[in-house]
Amino acid sequence: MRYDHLILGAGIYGLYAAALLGKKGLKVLVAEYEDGPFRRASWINQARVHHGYHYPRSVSTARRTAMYYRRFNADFPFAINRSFRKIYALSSVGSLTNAPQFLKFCVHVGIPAIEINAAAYFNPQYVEAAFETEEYAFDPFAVRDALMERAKETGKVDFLFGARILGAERQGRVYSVAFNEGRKVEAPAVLNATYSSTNQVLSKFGFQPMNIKYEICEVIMVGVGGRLKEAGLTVMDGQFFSVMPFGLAGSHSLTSVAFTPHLSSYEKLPVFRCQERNTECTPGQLANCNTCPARPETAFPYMNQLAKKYLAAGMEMGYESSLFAIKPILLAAELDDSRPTITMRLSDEPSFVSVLSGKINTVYDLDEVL
Amino acid sequence: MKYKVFVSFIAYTHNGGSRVAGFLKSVDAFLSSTFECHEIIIVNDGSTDSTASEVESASAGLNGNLILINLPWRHGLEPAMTAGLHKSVGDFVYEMDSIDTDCAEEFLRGMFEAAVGGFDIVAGVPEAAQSMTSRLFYRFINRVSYADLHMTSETVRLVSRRAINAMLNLKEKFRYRKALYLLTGYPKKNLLYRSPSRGRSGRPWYEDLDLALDIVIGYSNIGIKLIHFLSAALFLFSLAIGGWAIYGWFFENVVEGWTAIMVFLSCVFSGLFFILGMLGEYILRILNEVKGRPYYTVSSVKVFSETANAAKAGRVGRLERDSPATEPSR
Repeated sequence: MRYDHLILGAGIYGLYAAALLGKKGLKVLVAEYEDGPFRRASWINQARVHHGYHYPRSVSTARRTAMYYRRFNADFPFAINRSFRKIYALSSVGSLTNAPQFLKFCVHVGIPAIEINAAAYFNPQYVEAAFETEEYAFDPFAVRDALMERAKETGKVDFLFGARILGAERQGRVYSVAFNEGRKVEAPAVLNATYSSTNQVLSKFGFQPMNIKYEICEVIMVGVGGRLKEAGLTVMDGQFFSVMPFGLAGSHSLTSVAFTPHLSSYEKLPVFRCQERNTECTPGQLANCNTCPARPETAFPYMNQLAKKYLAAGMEMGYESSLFAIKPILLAAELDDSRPTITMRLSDEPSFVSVLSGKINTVYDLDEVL
Repeated sequence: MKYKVFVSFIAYTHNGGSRVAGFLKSVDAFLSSTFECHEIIIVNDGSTDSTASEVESASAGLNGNLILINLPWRHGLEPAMTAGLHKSVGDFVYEMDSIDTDCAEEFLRGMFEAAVGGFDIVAGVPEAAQSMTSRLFYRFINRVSYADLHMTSETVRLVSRRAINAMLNLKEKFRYRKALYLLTGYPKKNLLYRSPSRGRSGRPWYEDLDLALDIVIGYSNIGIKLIHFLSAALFLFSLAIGGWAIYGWFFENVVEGWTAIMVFLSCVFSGLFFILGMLGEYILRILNEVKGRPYYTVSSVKVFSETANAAKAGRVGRLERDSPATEPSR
């Protein structure tokens, strides 16, 4: 089969690119390892439409995020949960940023922050200050359905689910990729829109893998009541936690910097101990952590205890379920906590572009490279 | 049966690389068999040996979270343990001042039982003879301190979350947890354990002396009292000398000019000591302000509700109490 563009990965980046290219009249194939779109990091994350507050030590990341914030909200209004107060608090001990610095940062980036009475949500002893901000949650399933719809509408996009790349090679001006079940695809342009598998795809195509640290991360769904129901709380800046509405489903997500990552791998191609118990998952091809029989036990007791220390009385939460996914982090970004979108054009004819980003709403960075 | 609580265990070490693995193993065994959930926090106070890497390799196989806090240089016990306390999230927290403390698992479990029995602060006191110097020191500080401190050597402590919160809330820069916990006013119990080795701080004598001085100045008024007393005595003495000089000028034969000098000296010195005494008073106020101690601590507030009181008097139910007044209204 011959296509104008081959997209690897049916997460938000892959589907957004498919709709974009399909609209331009190109014939596109989206190849995805899983049986459906949005099975990994596009679903399993905090579901936060970032407005930049997360990056007080990287103004460049914050600016870029804030830029796309409005666009994303306008693009997917039906998927946005605006029905809660988003509160950012700064820990009084161990925070890398203090309240005046945070406020100055918000003014600098141009995002609203109004100080509120911290005791309304937190144990004031451990919180220096709390700010009401403007930030929403998105519903990954609503975003998924909308993007699938947009891609299909063009009539130019085909999907290949359950795809396994057996080999890839350059033949003149096209890439020839061999998939399972004898399928062979030729395309003059390839977009690597995978997330945790980005290095694995790069090495299959004969490119240098990036310096990445892999973390197996757990996002916990919790049930909340009372005032927490109408609030999203984030304690910054360091090893703290966040509890906020998860899309439109009615649950909150609970994550913490220290306890969300369960296992780390510093190899270029991810090596984890748990792979010994799942033969399908190898350094060359990651399987799905969320459905893995060897997935870690929940860290809920630790996260809950941390939250309990910081939250005011009456803000209890109950465990519902855990979601697991692998998160790749650029090693260069550990120092300043920046989360840049990495887009690399590694080859021109045929074209090979690789994109890696940890944030949903920076998907518009793709406009520049496609 | 495991207790359904989250317990943090904080231990201090400086150059304990050779012992830390064994320590972690035994503490983890105790915690995981006693409590439903736990974390161990090792505060590595500027060790120059392999402590950090030993802790990392010993983390394999532990049944709970392990947190290692590395301090870049040696801070000493109190700041290091405060870092550990800030990090801890447990409902109850064990603080162990040295990984070489040799108390048995049974004793640690007993401490927890004492805590749930109503003591927010439970301290483990080694029964082995205290050294002469520390015995003398504790006798002195317990005598001169204004708070009812009852301090003694403690090697391990179990503290409830509310007592930790109250202690961390005290703004004093000089942190001496043993005394700060007492200032919070929460009930405390000391438990004795038999220690095969003699309790030693492991600090050189000059650091011990420095700490002792800090404690005396921090938790007693003895220094400022001495200043007050001396200024008052010398003020009175200078006045008396002035009186004596004037008496001499009238009734005794004294050298020309002696009286003038003596009166001058007495005026100046009595003035000076008066000022010193006053200054001392102001410095005391400043000291107290800077410490920012709570104005008072309450150990408990009991509420005797109206209904409960009525019930005690034999009246039960609403109707009886609200029965219509027998006296006609005027």
